[in-house]
Amino acid sequence: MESRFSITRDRQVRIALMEGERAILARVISGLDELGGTNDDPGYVRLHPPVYLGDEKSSTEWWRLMGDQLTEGRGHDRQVFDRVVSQPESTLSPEEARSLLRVVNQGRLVYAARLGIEVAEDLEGLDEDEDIALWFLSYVVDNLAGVLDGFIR
Amino acid sequence: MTMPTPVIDIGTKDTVEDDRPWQVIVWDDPVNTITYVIYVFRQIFGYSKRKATKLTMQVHNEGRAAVNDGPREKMEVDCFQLHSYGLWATIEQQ
Repeated sequence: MESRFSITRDRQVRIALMEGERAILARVISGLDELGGTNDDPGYVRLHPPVYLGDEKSSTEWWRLMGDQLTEGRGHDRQVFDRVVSQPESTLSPEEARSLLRVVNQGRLVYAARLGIEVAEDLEGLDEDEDIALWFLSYVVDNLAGVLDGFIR
Repeated sequence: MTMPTPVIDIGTKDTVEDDRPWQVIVWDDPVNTITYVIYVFRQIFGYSKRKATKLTMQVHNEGRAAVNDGPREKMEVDCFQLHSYGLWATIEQQ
């Protein structure tokens, strides 16, 4: 599989995705739009875990202080993602590419949580579509992280 | 010989505990990939590939790893950054 991610001569990140690949990304990431906001949704729980184990008061306070900033950041990341999946090729700054990386990974986490994946063995029970989707998102995350690692001095 | 007078440490336990350094812990999960976690440690903390890989494998093999320590406020910011990348991070005192 030809790499979909590369660094350009002017130190930007070039992304080239086929139509079917962008469709998979758009479908899975759309799951982030449906975050229930309650503990009934495993995807929501995955993105809002306790920060102080055994200290609910401190955890609640941390989320009160940080939660809105995380949500705001995720909204910004999502705008970058929406731009990338709307066209076959994109050129992103490293900062924008990090936004794309974060939102794709969050989509994976939420998707997997809703499929009930809690341990590695659960991955073996996926149907073909689920397996392909998770594999492709893993491919995007690993390869984009690999490219972005080249920007760390 | 005079027995030493026992010191009853009423109300000082919390003060002593507050002096202990805080640390941020990253927990294993079956979805985040090893490559991704290594990258996140390098991006957030500026760790070498060797150190980031060692910590990532500790998370993977032992279920958790302390990835940084320091003042509580700093650990809360680190925790924020790790959560922004989707890693499950918690804060505790050593």
